[in-house]
Amino acid sequence: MTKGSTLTDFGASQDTQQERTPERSSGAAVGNSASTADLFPKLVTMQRLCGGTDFALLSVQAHTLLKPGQIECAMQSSGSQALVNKFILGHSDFLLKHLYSSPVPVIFNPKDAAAFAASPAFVANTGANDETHLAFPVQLGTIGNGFVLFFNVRAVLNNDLLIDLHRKSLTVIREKMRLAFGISAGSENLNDREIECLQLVGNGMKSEAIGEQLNLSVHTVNAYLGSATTKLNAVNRIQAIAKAIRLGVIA
Amino acid sequence: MNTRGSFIHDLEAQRTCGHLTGGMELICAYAGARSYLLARTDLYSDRNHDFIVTSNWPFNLVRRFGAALVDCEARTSEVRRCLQAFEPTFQEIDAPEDLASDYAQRMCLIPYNAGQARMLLALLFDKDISLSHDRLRDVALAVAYYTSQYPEIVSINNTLSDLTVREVECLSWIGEGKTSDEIALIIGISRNTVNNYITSIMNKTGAKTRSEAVALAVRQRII
Repeated sequence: MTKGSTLTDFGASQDTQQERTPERSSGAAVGNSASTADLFPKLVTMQRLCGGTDFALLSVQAHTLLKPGQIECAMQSSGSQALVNKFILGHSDFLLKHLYSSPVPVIFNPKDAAAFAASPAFVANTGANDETHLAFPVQLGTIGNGFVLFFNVRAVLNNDLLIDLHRKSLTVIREKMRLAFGISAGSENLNDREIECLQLVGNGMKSEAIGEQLNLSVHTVNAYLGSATTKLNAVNRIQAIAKAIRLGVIA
Repeated sequence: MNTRGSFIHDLEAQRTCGHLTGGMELICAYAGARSYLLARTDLYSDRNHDFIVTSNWPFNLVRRFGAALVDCEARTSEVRRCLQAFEPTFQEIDAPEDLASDYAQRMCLIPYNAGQARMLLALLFDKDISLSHDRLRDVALAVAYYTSQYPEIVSINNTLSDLTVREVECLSWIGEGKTSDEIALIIGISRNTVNNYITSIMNKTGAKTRSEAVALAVRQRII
């Protein structure tokens, strides 16, 4: 993770944060303190709102057909390592499946399950005497995916509280992503003709057909595609198409 | 004016009725909007217009802006798209002659994700209405909850889901710019087998070229 001079603003708050919770420096939160410092108080406030004893912020790596995705704990309340690790170990498959199939919050073992008949939340039961936990899925796209978890929740849960906490969860994960990536500008130096040709290739047209449509010679079309490939740092035009779609240069 | 709690409650009750439009009208009313347009932004194709899920916009506006909105969303860079997800933004409508005079000149765009689907909710407002950003943020989550319960809206396109693991593996290497010979070396099979896989991929997806097959797979986040 790169941390440039842009993060120096957080220097002061980071120091005070570490004084307050020195024991937090062991465990998964290491190496992320610049963003942690800023987000930690927000998560503590949310934990108070729902009357929980602990919280955790999980991040999920990119998920494709070949790589099923992986859950990592990015931040957690102090002293909750054992609890969080056990939870991830036990519910990893369920959480991954839920994240990529539904945006609704999950309530584990609610005290009064009937009260959630008129709630969009998903109710999961893990055992008769288990404590109530909350899980808010956040799926921003290719990056910025994860869960905000609250453990041993005591507050009376209603739709208003759930949507409030879910909105705050979105903000926290979005902020975390913003800090991790900075405001990175994509390779926007492709010109209009190059983008036009790339788009048509992505739609399945051959160079000859593109030349005909745009009133250009085949060689000119191939030259545009060649320069686009170089600018995108790709080895051939097929990789250029894949990169251009991922960057949002073409649709 | 109803509260947030009862809004979510009513929306949940609508689900049992099974009509998508009922809930969309509730969402529209809670946001203080006059009309809505709900579209999928990840089914880009220049050949058909079935990416618009439901709308009560005036028809000429749908025809004029619908495709442009989805196109614009698909061209946003991935990082920016992730930062904007679930966050309401406003956009000026640049063709006022198409818009009846009692509509506000700005529309609200809320991109969101539900399951595997990338969606966009676009709201039009009456002129001179006072907007609540707080409510629009509620709407971003509420519309995600609501529409995710309709599998026909958020289901992924099936053209690529019947590919075998080997075919996806080949396709992902092609996307990395590898040639058939290189792929044969990488996964330890003969070049002809690789070419057979690729032919089969193109048959299954209906793609005319390798480039199109890779483009399809990237758009649907298979590779």
